[in-house]
Amino acid sequence: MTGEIVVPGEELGEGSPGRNVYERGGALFSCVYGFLTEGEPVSVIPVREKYIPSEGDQVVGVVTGVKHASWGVDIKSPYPAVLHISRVDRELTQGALDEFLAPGDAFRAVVDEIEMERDPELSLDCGRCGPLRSGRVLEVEPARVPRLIGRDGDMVRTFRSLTGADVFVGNNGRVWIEGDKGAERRAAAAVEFVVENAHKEDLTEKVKVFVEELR
Amino acid sequence: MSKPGGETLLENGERLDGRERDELRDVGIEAGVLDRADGSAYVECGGTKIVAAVYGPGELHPRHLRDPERAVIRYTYRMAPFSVDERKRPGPGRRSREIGKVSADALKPAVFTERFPNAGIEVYVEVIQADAGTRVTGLTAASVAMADAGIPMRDLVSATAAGKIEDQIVLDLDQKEDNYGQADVPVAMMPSTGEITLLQMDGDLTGDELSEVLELTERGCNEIYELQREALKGRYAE
Repeated sequence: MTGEIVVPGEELGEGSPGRNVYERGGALFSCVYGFLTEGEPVSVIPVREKYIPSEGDQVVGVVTGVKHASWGVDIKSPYPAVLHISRVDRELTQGALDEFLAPGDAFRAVVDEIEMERDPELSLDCGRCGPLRSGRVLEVEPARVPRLIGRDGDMVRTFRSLTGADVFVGNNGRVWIEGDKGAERRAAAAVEFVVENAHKEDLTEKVKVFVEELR
Repeated sequence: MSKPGGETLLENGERLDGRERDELRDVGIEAGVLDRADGSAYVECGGTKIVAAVYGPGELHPRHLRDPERAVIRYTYRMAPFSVDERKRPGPGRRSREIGKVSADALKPAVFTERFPNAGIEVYVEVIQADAGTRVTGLTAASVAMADAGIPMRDLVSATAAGKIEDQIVLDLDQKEDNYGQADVPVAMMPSTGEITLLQMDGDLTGDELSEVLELTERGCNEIYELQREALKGRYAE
């Protein structure tokens, strides 16, 4: 994400269309206000976007309501999600689900199923899915998530090894951080540093320098 | 309509503010002026001053407005009570509703609404000061605010008006020209494709005059388009 800034409708020349790019009369145009990536396919990383869930995404949800056999969940998206009791592999009592997750509680989950005309379904069927009882949750711009995760998760590993905190970056733009006080503070600062400098090159190196200076 | 004191809108063939026939008033555009909205813009065109804010796509309420095929754009056009000479009575009226409706329709072709079924995109356009051309200046602001919100679009929408004063076709009428002129035609378009997304007419024009109006507004929209692009790009210039 080092490229030039483009606006919707801007002509981007020829090539194969990638993310946020559309084709018209043989030429490519940007769909969004964002940064042009280098190389093929021609893609634009938006300055801002809303999280649109897709199956298999890992997210941090926040409970908005508890029903008899399900939870209503805010996943920071135009589409509110549902966690049904059948997708939670624990001993739970119907009608008393708030003993496990109450309104306001954050938890880690997987987007399990998306169907037309229905709210996206979450499940707790992943290694570390479940309530986030400790640590803190940061809200970040969803468009910056790929940068926060890094290639094959290398940025997340960098956060962990540099700060000593446990870090999980949800695809929906919520980051969970847990560790001792100093570690949490360093990790939060490092995450914010990456969000703000996402358009710069050699970011991993820059984060290392940044965290070193925090100590 | 009679003019006060029998004044003329063209003196020796010149407009009262000294502009050429095909000249816009001074236009200033700033993107991202509000922290709370997903996207925003401030636009001045002569004495017209407008703030636009955009939220979304988000959950749309009430539910019955949802469209399972695409996002619904809701456009609220509002004039501040102090935006005009005589205090404007607050609250939506027939005119504001009409402008909100045609403006939503003018943005719709530009937005990839089909990517967000059932969702809503909320656009709020606040006229702080009115000096003619508020619906088109509102659209110019709304489209920059939409881009700033990260909403996927085919193109920006640029808008301006042209009309007839003293039997002459001129671009971008000011308040006096609008009040005492013979016709006013607001036009919005997607400049990179040339598609017109809003075309209204108040007054009478011949076919030839309308063609002249469209020629002028196309040039005006292209100029505004450049300013919109600069406003967006300027925010990230380092």
